Amino acid sequence: MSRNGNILEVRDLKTYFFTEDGTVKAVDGITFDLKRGETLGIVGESGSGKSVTNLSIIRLIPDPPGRIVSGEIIFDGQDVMALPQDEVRRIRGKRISMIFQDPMTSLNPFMRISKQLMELTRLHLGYNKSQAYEHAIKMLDMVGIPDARSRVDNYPHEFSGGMRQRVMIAMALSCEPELLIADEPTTALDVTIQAQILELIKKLKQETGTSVILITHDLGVVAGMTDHIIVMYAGKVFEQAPTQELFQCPGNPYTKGLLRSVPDPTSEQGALYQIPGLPPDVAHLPPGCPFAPRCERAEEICTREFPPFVQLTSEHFSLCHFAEEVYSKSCKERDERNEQSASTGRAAASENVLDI
Amino acid sequence: MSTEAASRNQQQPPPLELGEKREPLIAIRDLKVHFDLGGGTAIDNLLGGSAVHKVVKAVDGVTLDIYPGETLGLVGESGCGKSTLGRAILRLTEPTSGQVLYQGQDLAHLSEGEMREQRKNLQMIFQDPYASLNPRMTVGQIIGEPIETFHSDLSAEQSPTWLKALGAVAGVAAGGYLGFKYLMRYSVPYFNSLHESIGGWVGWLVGGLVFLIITAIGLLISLALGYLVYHLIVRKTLRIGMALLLGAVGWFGAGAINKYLESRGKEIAEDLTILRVFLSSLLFVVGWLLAYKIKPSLRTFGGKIDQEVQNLMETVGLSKRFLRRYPHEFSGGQRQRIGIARALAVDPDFIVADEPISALDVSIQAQIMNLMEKLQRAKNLTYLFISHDLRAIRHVSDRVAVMYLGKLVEVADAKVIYDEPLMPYTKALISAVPVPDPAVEAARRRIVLEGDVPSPINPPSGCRFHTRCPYAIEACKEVVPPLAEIKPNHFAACIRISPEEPYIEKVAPGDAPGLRDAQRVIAT
Amino acid sequence: MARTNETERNLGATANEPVQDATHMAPPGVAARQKMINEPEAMAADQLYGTAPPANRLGQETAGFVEGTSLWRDAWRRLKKNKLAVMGGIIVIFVILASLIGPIIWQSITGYTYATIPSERALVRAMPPSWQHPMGTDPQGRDILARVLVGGRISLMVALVATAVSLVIGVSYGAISGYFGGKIDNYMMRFVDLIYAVPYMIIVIVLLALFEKSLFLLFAALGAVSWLTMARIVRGQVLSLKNQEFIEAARSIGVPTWKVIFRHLVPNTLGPVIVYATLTVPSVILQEAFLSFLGLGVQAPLSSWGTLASEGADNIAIYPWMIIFPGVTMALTLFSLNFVGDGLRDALDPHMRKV
Repeated sequence: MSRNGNILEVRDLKTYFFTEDGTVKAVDGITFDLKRGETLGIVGESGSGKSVTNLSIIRLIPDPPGRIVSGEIIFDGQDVMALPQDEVRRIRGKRISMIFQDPMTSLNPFMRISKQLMELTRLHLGYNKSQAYEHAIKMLDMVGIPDARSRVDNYPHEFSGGMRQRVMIAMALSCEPELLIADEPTTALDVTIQAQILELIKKLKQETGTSVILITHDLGVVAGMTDHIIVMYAGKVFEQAPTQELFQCPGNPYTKGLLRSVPDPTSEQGALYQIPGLPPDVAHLPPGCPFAPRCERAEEICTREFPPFVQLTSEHFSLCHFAEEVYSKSCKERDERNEQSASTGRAAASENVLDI
Repeated sequence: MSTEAASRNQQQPPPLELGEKREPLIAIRDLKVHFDLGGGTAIDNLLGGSAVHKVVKAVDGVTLDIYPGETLGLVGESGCGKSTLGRAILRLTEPTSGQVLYQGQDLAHLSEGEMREQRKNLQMIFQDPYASLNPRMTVGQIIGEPIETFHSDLSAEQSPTWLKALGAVAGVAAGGYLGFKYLMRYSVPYFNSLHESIGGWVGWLVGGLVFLIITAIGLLISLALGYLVYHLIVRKTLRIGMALLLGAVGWFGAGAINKYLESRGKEIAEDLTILRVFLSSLLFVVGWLLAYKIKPSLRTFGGKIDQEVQNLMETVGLSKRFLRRYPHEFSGGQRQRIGIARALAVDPDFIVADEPISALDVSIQAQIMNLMEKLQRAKNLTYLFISHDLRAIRHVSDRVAVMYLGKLVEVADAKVIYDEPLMPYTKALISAVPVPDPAVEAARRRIVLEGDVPSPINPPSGCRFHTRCPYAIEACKEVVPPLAEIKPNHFAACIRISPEEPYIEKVAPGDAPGLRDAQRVIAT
Repeated sequence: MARTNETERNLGATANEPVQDATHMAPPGVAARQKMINEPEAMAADQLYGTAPPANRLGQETAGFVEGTSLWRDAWRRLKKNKLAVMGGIIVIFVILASLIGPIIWQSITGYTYATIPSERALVRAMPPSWQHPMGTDPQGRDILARVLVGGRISLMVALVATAVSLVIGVSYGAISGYFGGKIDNYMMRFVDLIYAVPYMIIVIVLLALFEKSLFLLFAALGAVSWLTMARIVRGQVLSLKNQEFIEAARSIGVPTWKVIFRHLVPNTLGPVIVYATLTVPSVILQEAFLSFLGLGVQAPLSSWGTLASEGADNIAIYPWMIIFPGVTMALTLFSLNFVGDGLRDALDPHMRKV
């Protein structure tokens, strides 16, 4: 069984892609623990390596061109890297399952929903046909598909996008996995459907005690869903902290910029803060900090030397030469904000506004 | 019939009974866009097609004013018709009925040519920065194309009159020569041989028919050649010059080789033509390509257009040194800047931005929004900003219109609509926006709507939202709620609220105060 | 901050606040100041990370402009890496050159043409390959190498004409049909179906029976059918392209219809078109060989690869070199063309474009 309550431990994972244009260090040294029943958010822009991390954990990196170069992935005390392929296959789908971004393409359009759901339980749990069928109906019911019994034999195209994502979740959860990896589960969906799906994941997590890794580019989504957050940029972990802490006093200029560049729907703003420049090309990274050319705090050292991974509190890490300075500054800002809102009573007002 | 004609000729937009007294820049009146999916005919029944006639009512009676200098945000979920509305205003999708009034003209009823003229005032920024730029054109060509279209006099490719005349003469000569040769070589002999070999009236008929077919083909080829020669000479002088020069070198070179061989007592007369054709056409192509090497600016429009394009590139924050680059050499954010520059190229008044930031990374979204705001101030632009991203809409918009299944359900100032939405759908929509603040997220209560957006084919009767609305009553299934001014400048379409009772939570269960005073509402 | 400014200077950054903010009506508050801080950085960083790196390495600087790498050049770069395609290309070029100027050179060296029948009676017979006749001679004593070279000329010419017809007519026809869609598309494509449905061999035989046999007829017969598939391919391409945003963008800026078709649509269909054209060439060569084999092709003493194969086949047991050499030459050419076509397809494949 697992040591110290961690369902998943990733140690210094490096996944590289060897392409014509050079070696792409898609994931370059990521380390984290995930406790049982907790939710981890991985946030990053496109090309930051967040999806590759996910694929590495379940060893689905297309090889060639990709390869897990080094690192340990310990799932429930077992080193996934050391397991033979068919052993991994047994874990995949049963103990670790995934939800992908696009519900339109993740389901086989020529297969009935029932069949796709039954396939899993028959394979992994050894159910017979009728058991699997009943289980499929139960699962659809659980994810909130109305009239599950009559819809279970439908084809995917007969479901709407939101419903299909529910089917995907039903599939992912049908073997009662210990770890659910949701890769941008709501990006292709509308806001109202997104709210439904997030509520659903939250509810199911409480009911089944599954651990969740939620991968997204949307800081708003992780804010309400996760316990811990990892911020990735150019294949590196830039910041790692408990959710509350990360949003309140970020210790990394990138996280800070990201937080400031999202328009806040609850309050009036002037011009939006913008992170200048463009995300770097991961195949040709500059020698120093990959964020240095866009960073407002950057100094000469940043372009020269790769920054250290600084520990700020027991669970808060930041990859920056000036991590402590940034951290203390944003903590001070938070205190000022709190003081201000306490004095004007604006916090109460804004809460009222939202409570509609 | 006469009323329709009258409404078409109307110079002034019919004033809205309520609301702003400002003069709108774009006035949309009862605009409908329906897509006919067919079905329902006898043949469909026979062939197993759809038994009922299906019509997607993507936009179904939208009335909206857009005021000069403002940003109107248009939100809604996918399939609600917001993009179709934007496209219908610009006539990229043909409206089924209704009016779009701009400067006293009804855009919806302009001819294709008149509309093309108007396009310099009305532009569009597209969603997908990867699909909206032609991958075979350079940035200079992409941004320069609208300028070239509307101000072709600025193009360096524009030729002096004598060259045009030369081109015309050369074109006619080339086409005529080929046509005549062709006639003599093929049409006439075939006619003669057929006419003679078959004989009688059948001979005349068959011969004549073959003559006509062959001549028609020949004529087409000659015309094409003639036009090609004209076009090449007038528009592509350097390229055709280089090509012709090298082509001629090939032609006469082959002759020289022949001469040389002849002088040594060997003949290749029979091969000469093939050699000539091959050598000259090869060198023709080489010459054409060489022209690009000599003058790389041929990859753009050149002249004043390039000047203009470079200014635009600087305006949108691109280095002008990238003039001759291709879109695939840029990142998403930069491509979107190119798209914006293209929209700005003809100095429009009004821009429809259809999900301009949805395909971009978070850190780039802010850049593009800021750029658009900056340009708006500098050039006094009016935007229709279409997005499903409620956070972005809040940030960029002055006013916001919410759409649901082809109809507008709420229109108000951005701040007002976010702080105090009136229509139940808007309430749910705004409560569903994830806020990047765990404290707020923990404290707030979401209205989670049941079910999905119904299909726009056969949408629900009455209020289209009644199937998902937590406040729906029986009357909602029958009465189509009009967009009414509930508070000053705050319009909402819901029969359960009225100016006297604007808050639906306070309305008695089953009551519909909005139905009581029919005078107040705008006719749908 | 200091570093960013330095970079900006080094790069010779262009004007940083290009929009004339004279009409700037908002009060110059905190927000405005924030902007001024941000913008120069945006510019500098844009130039830092301005480009995708492959282009960076290839792009040359001329007169202050960064030269772009068009998709064609990109494809060319990929094609060059495909050894098989490069080999094929070299062989094809060699065959073309050989058949164009080969007969002249061969004649100037040895004095043989494809029609030269030796005057010495003793030599009028089929001779096996020798130093004098590397491919041997036929029963009339004509040099087979000279005949293969000239035959290549006819075969390649036929292929060229048929491909040109399919390019010009097929591409325009398909593009117009696809772009306008609806009824026009329906009628235009039914016409194509109609021609498809008429047995091709019958048309050729009737044509050849009606008229005297000539090269022109052969060209016309092959050209008449070669454009049909091309029209369909282009139409299919156009149908999927015309809903893309860049076509809509072109319409939204008021570009006239014919320009939309020939400037925006057609260049983007050229990938598959070029591939198909390369693959048309071998099939047309085979068709010509087939027609010649049936005696419907070029007439003696002129030769094509088809007639040579036909003559060789008649004498396969007695004079095997008469079929071996023309056959091998033809097979080699066709293989090479197919390799080039495959290589082009890989190089132009749109899926490869996405990074």
